[in-house]
Amino acid sequence: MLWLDLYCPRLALEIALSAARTEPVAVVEAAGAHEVVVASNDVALRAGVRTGMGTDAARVRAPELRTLKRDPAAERAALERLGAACFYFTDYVSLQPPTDVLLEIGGSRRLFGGLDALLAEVGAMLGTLGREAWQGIAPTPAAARLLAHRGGGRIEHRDALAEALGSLPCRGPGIDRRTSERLEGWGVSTLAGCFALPREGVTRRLGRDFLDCLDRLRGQREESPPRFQPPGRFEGVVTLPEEAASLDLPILAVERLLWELEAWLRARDAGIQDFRIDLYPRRGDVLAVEVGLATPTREAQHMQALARERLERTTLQGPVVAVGVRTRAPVGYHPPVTDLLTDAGTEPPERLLERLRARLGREAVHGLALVAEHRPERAWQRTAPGGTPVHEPVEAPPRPLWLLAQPGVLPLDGQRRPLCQGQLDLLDGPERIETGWWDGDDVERDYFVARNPGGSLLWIYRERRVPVMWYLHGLFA
Amino acid sequence: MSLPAQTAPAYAELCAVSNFSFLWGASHPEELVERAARLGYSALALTDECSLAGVVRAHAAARDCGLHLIVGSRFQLDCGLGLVVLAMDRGGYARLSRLISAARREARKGSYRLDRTMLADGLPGCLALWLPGREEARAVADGVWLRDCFGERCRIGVVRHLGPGESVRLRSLERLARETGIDRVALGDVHMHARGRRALADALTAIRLGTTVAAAGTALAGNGEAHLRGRARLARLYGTGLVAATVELARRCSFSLDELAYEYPQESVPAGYTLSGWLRARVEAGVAERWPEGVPPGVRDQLEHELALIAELGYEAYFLTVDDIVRYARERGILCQGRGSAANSAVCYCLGITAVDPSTSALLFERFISRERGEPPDIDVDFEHHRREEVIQYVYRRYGADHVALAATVICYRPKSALRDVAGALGMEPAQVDRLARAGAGRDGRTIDRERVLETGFDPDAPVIHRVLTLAEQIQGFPRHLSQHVGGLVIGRQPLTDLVPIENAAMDGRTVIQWDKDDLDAIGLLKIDCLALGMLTAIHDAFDRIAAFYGRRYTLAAIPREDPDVFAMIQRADTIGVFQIESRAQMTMLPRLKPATFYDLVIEISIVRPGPIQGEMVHPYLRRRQGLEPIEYGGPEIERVLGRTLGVPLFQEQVIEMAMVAADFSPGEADRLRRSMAAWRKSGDLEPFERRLVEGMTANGYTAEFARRMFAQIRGFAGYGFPESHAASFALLAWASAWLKHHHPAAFTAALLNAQPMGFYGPSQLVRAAREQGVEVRPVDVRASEAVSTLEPDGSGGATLRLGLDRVRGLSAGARARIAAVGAAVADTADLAERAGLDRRDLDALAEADALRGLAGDRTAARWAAHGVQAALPLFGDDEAQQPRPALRPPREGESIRADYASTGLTLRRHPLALLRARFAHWRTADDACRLADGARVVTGGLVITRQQPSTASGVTFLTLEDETGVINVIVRQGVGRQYRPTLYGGRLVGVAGRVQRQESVVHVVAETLEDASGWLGRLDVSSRDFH
Repeated sequence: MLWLDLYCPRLALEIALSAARTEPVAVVEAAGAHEVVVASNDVALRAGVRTGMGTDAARVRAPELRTLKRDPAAERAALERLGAACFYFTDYVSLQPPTDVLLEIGGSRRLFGGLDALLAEVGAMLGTLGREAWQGIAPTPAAARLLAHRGGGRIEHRDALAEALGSLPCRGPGIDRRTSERLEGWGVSTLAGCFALPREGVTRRLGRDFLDCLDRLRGQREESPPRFQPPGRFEGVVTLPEEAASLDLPILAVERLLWELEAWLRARDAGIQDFRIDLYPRRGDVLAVEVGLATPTREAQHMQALARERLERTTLQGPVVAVGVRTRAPVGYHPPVTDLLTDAGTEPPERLLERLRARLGREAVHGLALVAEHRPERAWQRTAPGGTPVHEPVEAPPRPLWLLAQPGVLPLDGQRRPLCQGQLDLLDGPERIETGWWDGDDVERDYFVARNPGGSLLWIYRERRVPVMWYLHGLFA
Repeated sequence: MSLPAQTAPAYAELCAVSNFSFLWGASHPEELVERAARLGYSALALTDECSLAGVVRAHAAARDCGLHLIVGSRFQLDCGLGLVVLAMDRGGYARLSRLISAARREARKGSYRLDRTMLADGLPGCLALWLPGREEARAVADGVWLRDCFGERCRIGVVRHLGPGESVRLRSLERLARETGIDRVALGDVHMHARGRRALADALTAIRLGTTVAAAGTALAGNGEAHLRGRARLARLYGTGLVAATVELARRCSFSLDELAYEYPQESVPAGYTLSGWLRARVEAGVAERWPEGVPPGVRDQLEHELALIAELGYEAYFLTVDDIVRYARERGILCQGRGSAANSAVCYCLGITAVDPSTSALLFERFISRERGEPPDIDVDFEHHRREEVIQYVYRRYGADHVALAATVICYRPKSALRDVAGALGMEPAQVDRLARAGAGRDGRTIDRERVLETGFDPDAPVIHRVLTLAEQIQGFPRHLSQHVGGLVIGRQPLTDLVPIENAAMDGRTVIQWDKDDLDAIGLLKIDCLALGMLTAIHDAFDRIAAFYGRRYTLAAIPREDPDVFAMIQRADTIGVFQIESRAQMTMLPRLKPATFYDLVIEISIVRPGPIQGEMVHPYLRRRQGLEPIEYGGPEIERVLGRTLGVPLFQEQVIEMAMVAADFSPGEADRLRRSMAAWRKSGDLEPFERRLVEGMTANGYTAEFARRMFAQIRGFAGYGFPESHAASFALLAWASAWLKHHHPAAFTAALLNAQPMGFYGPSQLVRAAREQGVEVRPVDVRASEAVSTLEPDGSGGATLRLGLDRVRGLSAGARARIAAVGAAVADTADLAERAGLDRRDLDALAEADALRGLAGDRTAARWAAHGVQAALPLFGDDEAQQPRPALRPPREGESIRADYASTGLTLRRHPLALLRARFAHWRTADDACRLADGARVVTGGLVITRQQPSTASGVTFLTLEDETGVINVIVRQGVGRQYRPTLYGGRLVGVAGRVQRQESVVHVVAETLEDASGWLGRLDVSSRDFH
């Protein structure tokens, strides 16, 4: 047996699309009352931000530091997707959360033309997926992991194992902090030193588990890491590092996920017929975009082109916080022979809507919703058909059913009273509306209900900043 | 506002909330009062929600502009009923205050709970203005209940804010009035003084709801009508009947806060004594004790004068109360000392409240208890910090829980929090909010700094940023919540709730009143500050240790004065651990000022403060003292006042007296000058005083130029200056601690270690200083150490310092005591563990601290042994001794040093830098560097022991580095600091290249570059091989 351990030190950062950003970024997690850095990008590293450092200390070094909360579930999911892709290289893959994937490559290295050739392909796959991974190769899983976490290393032969490990410091995966501190306290700093301690004394002071760990490292105790069973469908969600009002970030995230999808499909030698993109808004319902494919497909670039095209036609209802890609069960795959432009056929679920839009024009079809806002012209909004409004008022004020798209200026009589097809009786008012300063559209108006000689009930207002200006804003039924 | 005030109908606003209804009201109480007065309102009722926290400020403002202020509060009952309650008379005020207290005490901090049963007595003496809900059927039932409860003292409040559907609402209220028989009255339901606060009011709403303004929707007000509107307009809106009703109701509210006659707690005066007779008896007892050979004549006069003044102003009970508290502390052996304006009186000396001998210092008692001001005297008492709680508990017991409460501290929006909340409310992204808040809060954290906002890359003119900055500037200084004052106890004769509402504090079982320190002053409530002071704990401990070791007991008063050896030590700035004069700034001043008398110490303490440096006053004093600058007084009056400080005003008392004698200020005016100096940094302006002072002084024959210079000096220390009386009390503790340090360094250092954390220096520096003084310091050892640091005989009658088990990080207090009890009588680690009942963590901690060396050998062996014992404990009969012992490598010196620091925070071995010296041979040692000439280039470095960034030092950071020969003081200017930011803030071992700056014997290195060498500390164990 020969084991390859892939250790992804920056997984937390990569899944947030932040490893390559040009501003300092760090992923942080709560540690007691504080937050500590768990991963940081190169810019942050150069500024002196280190793993384990408190957020405040990190900010002292990099004042512009952006911090992202660690998302263990997303890391686990990303690790599973990486594990699934690794089935391309072997049928024995084991996940070692939170950051490691173990591959048994003793059996398959010959298929790839030797260890170096296999490693080259592993490297290529990691590059495509945008994963940094340190690689440890050893006859025991524990030693492979230890080497990977030490920055990488290769021990191919079992006979050389104990000696090669001996010079390594006794720190790393499998050796918890307390244990390594104790060892250090006894003046033991290498694995050779650990191997030399009396077994009885070690068990007594550090527990059976540590002794087992030492034995597993040097192969004196067999270890079979649990086999990973990859799920039958691809499913990936990326939380965006910041809310996105435009599509650039969501598209980037979809592209990443589609690279992963390709690797996933490759590992099972399969293709897919369609996939779904989910856009998660800050609140409200997920916006799902179905992308259908004419023939079973697996090439990421092809799927990316289609996805981009579909997304660019989509209107966002608000800022997007996360993006997902999902598939059904994969199908058999044959490399494409037709040209790419033939697969346009998507079947959207709401056929009626499509027909209406086809007849009246895309922009003419929309839903309506009330909005809790004092300014009447903003107290309602168009929504996507079937969409949910952002927030609705609890108690709606008396308002005319018909609100003019644009308030109309009313003519005045000799005494500067407004006219609308004749003299007006002011029946109720004023209702004063002054608000909206925060978006640069501050209004100051006094509204009145008025009746004209024709008996129409009108909703008119006087502009407070220009008191001689009267406007018609709506009609009561 | 359009009609002239006299022609518009009279109006009184009966419902207005200020920003003391937190995150609701958008104006300060003073702003409401001033605008109401300007609009010619007949009265204004301040009706904050379940709170009277803003009324004292409003009252003061109303007095200034002659407005009738009505005290009230508004509530929402559990059942949803909305009610405004106004106090008509003193009885009504007490009921309102009790009601608020009851409602607040029912709920957790910051909220309240009120139900109908709490109003069952109908609140005699109060008016109830009802704000009916929208549901008409329920409103009728509510109205019937209110009418039964309040009778004719109830009204329906009609509010017109020009909201939607208002006409329907008005008709409904009219019906309601008919059906319930309750009359209506106009209410403005005011949330802000002027319409211009509309945006701020919206922002506050968004902050309160935890949302953004854009998303708050109809939770925001639809318009800005909830402000104080002109009377003519109100009359048009409400009609004359409803408006006239306001005035009639206002007239019925005759209560004023001036009526709050505060009575000092009833002192249990023994039968046959009057209050003043008993005070005199107490003072005379003190005289006999202080001056057994007879009281000096000057002091007798002073005493008589003070007693007469106290009697005249009726402050006997106040002094007797402080006396009672101090006496209790003394009986329990708790060291304490008074300070504050009234503390340094002959009376307080005789009562034992302070130890500053009136026969040896100049006192200005009268300035602080003046006939003119109605303010209570002010005495703060410091207690040993570990035992202050006992004293506070005593006060609660002695005067009754109803009669004692803590004063509040009003926590206000500061630039950073203002920017953060406002930016959030305007929908900025969290990361941006963070960045803006950090940048905009300015260097000193006191003002919003638009320039730095620009530097950080925000455009201050971009609409959003502009809105954020403008609103943040408005919200800055808004009260945010009430917190408890550090130690200000309010004690009353009647239950306090009759005077002021009491609410729950965050700390369990503690209550605070709704007024802060300034409010108390304004109302004249008795407050005694019971503060905690670590130095008192240390001095007490040192006295105890000296008594136990040498059999000689000292007290604060019994410490010899004017000891030249002690002054020599002070002049060398050998003052680590000495109260007040141990800071870096003080240490630079000492060799130049060369204090040689007690009064020099008083000056030394006052002179090194942020204010005087800013006002460039230190230099004049120092230059004059060194004879480098002529002493000028300008005239005999000033010479008398400023003679003792060589013509430079250093103390608040001097400012007051100088203003009176040289510029003819009345005592009241002079006191206002002092107060505005104190408040100057918060608000206000000293300009009127400058004009007044310069005019007054020129009229008295001083030149205008001299007068202006004088004023500049006064202004320079505005807000910072100590009263002389404070400085004198502090100087006494400084002297006592310096004396102990000189004569009993082992006991003093033990006491400082036992009182940690306190002071500027950590255990490492304290121990190092003691060793430099020649004290033998012995390491923590389970066989010899007590729970705390102690003295051990050195074999020749002297004392050595034995570090206590409390130095050991992670060792539980119980374990410390048990180990100390078992003492030297243990055989080995397992025996110790069993007999002292030690658990895993305790043994680990002891092994780490090298405290087992006598039982188990060096650290590596001790750890192996300790780790083995703990595992064996539950398995009876399992014998560790039979287990094979591995050959463990003994710890290297560097490892030991590191482990010493990690576990005990100090090492008695070599300094880490001694081991690394070969690597850093190019660094000059501290000792060496201090000998260089001014301006010399130097490369040096050391362990960072302190890092100070005084807020007034315009971005300069002071680093103190330490190596095996001593300390190096480094000045890092802002530019250099910015360039080497990570090193400056994160470096533990830092190298410096720069120039020497020498002023007399004081040497600094002004850094030009910094180098972070901290990595070498981690490799101590490796590099130390070179030295074996």
